Amino acid sequence: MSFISRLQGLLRRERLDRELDEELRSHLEMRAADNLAAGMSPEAARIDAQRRFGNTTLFKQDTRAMDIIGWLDECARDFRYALRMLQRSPGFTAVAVLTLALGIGANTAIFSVIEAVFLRQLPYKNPSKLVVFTDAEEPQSGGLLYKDFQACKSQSRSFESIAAYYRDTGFSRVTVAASGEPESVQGAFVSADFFPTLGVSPLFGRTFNSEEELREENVVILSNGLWLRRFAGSPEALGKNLQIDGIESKIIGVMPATFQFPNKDQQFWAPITTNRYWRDPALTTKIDPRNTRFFFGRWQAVGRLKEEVRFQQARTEIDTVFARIAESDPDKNRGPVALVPVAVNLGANARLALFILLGAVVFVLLIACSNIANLVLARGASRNREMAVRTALGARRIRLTQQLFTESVLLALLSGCLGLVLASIGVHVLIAFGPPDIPRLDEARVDGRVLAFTLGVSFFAAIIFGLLPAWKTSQSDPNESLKSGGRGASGSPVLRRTRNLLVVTEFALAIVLLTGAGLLVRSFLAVQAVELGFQPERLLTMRITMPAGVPDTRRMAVHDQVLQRVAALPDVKAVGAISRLFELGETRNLGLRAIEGRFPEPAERWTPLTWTSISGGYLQAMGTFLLRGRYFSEQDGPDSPLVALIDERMAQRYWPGEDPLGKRFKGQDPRGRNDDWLTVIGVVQDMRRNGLERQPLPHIFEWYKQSGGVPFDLVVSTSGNPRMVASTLRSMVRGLDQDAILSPVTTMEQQLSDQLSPRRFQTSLLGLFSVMALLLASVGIYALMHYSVSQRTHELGVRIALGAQRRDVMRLVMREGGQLALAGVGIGVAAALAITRLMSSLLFGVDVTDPVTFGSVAVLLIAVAFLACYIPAQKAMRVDPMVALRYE
Amino acid sequence: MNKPKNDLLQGTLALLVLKTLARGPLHGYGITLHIQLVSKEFLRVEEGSLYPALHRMEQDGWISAEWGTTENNRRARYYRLTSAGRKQLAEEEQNWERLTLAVAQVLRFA
Repeated sequence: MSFISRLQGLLRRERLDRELDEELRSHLEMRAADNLAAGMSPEAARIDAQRRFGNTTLFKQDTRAMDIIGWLDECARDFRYALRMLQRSPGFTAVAVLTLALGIGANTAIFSVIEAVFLRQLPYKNPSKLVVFTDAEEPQSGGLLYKDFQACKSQSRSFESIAAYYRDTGFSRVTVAASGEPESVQGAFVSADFFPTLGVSPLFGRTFNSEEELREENVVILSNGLWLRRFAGSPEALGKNLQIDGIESKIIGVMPATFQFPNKDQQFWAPITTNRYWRDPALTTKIDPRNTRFFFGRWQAVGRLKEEVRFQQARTEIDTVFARIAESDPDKNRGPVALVPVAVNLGANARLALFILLGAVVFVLLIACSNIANLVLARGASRNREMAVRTALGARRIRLTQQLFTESVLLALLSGCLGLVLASIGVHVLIAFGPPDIPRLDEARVDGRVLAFTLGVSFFAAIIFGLLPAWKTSQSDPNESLKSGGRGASGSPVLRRTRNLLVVTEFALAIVLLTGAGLLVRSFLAVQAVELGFQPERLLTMRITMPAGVPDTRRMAVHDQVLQRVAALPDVKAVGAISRLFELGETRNLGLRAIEGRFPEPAERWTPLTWTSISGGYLQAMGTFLLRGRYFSEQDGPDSPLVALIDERMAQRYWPGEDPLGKRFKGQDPRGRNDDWLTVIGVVQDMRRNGLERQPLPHIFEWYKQSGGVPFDLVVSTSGNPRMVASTLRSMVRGLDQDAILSPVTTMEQQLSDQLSPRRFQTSLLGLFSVMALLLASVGIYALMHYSVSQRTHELGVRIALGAQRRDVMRLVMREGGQLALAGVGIGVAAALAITRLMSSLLFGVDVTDPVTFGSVAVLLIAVAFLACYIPAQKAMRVDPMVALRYE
Repeated sequence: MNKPKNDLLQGTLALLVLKTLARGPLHGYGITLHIQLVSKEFLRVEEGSLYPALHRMEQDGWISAEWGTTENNRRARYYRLTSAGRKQLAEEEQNWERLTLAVAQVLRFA
């Protein structure tokens, strides 16, 4: 029995057991039949037959043990031998184990992340039955009307339960305070059946019931993070109070750390009825036609399907329910409702990036494997004599293959162990540098499943780099090898072709990786070079939030004081504020309600646009140029004519080819005493406030004294070192108002850098892996050429003795390496053209077939190959014919 | 359980089985019958030691096994001697003869 079939035998132990049972049964039957013939009663015949076996279980154990002992003996012999062989060539072993450990480690690390993010069971009861109701057009922040939620609940038959929740989408976070400074956090306001629907229970304490929800009782359940942060993980937190937007809420429970629904940074859960928007008619059932979907899109719902209901059925049912609702109650605030399974809420790009990285590490592993396959082949060639002798002495070929393969398995297992160590370091690094947009990334760790994966990868690697060389080596003809005295070992053309093929493959794989990385690097540079429309250098930002319930007059007073005092600080050039520093969320199609002298614009022609309130010298501090007209001034008071600044895109959008100055329009909500017109007083540069990788949004800026909102995202431009100003800024504002919630002071450059963190993560990782690929591939070609030269010393010596110029010899070697490199580059470029297309959505400002990237990667690889061949070629050139021929 | 009339000497079971199989393929039950018959009921092979021995010999490559049907149309696992087994048999036969010879000499001398 061969190694493999024994392995199968072991795995198919059940089958073996069945066979043994059958064998014994047939024995018993024959004995019983003979006993019967000898005149025993049938009963006695059967008992006698059985008795002779004694203890059947013990007997079966003994017999089975014999099946396995033979196999184990052979394995142990092979492993001892393999260990000796590896010990005998420590150099080879070290190089092979290190190379492979890098490949396996990288694979394991990336797999740990994928396992934590995608594969690990979500921490809910039977998560496959959970679905989320969301807005098909705005899956991240959209939602459904509260009345529709109620209709859904009463009309649909597919669900065991449905729970609604309100997720703050970021720009109006709530304030919590217990002891210490108030902070601004994300919270969820949920209906009482929220926890039962998800099937989760608190770490300790309890959740609230529907009576508490109806009574609008102020109770709150803390996230594990908030509990640890604000209450030092003390169980005495239960019964204490947490202030949510200034309202005292009693803490009744703490959730486990794994519970992060609906979002990763959820800090607490409170009854939906205690939400400060609850009584807002626009959010519940009444319709205010002046409001848009913007405000309605916040109720989301999660439902648990009945056991027997499939997802598709539920979706069909919900479609019909909503068709019915839409017919009886047409409401233009209603968005298209979509039902999606509760899976990891991961952006498409983060998902794509993770799988591209997984692909990249598989490539690295393949390159590492072919490198080692080459090493093993080369070693196999020099062990030809050993194999030949053993074959001649009667060893079966399959035994030799088996034994060589055992060496590879041992090598792979050693590398797997080392790789595991590298991986656990790698996972920590990944978590530390990972972008915030990957949920559950911080839960990545090396666990049982990852261990199994590593073991699997190691075996896979062993099969790739071990089986082929083992077979090839054991196949060599003993006659040939013995006759030639081991000298002509490299001459086997099959072996040679195999090795060349491996190097070509390595080059092709490396090209694909480098091209992908190159495209990402070019995108990264392109993103960094975009025209921002403002100057981020030496700019400080800080968010000041006032707790809910603080009257507008006090907000305004605090705001004005802050601006005044900051402007007076030394080294401050300009200071101002805006209602939102960036618009990074989903954009909505919006339009102006009225434009003087025009028909109203139909909603179908709306496009994304935004308007915000600014104060002080916001535009001056940002360094955004005024192209025409004037800035706001202190004369633009609440009672003076309403004015607005727009940017170039806005001017293009509504007044193309006209002078926008003096044009009048009305925005979404009424302004002034009498729904007055706003007059355009100036045009500014386009600003990328909505992310570096998106087209700038058209802007309307309003003056805070006229819009009514008090902007609190502070921007301060400084002339000296911004750090100096930063240190005084916070304490100064704190001194002005004790209740204000202050974010840490950051630089604008840091803010922009944070926006780039997903891209930086993808780019640096793919870059790292492609550099590994490049190094491995160049080591591969170097080793091959080096080996080839050393094997051909004799031939080269003869050539030189017969009058070949040393230059010719060198050219010969260089040509051989060059051909391999060129073939690899050719195949690699073709493959890269096909494969990089998959990553087009990750690219920015660069084409998937970008000739610069493709060209430079090809040139780089050829150059590396040239260098790698140069050293062996030099060696070949220096071959001394006398020395070479003396071996004869 | 009956006390066996004759404990087989360590290692003799393999010899007896190999010798039995030298006549042709046979199943486990057949082997016990054959040994019992030829030794005129003097030697009795314990089932409890026969099957472990058979499987061990199979692992060692002395015998190979396959499923077949008996003359009574019953399915049974037939064991067959391999060439390695034939060599082993020759060796063990020789050993046995030397052993019995030596024992006989000692007995005669004493």
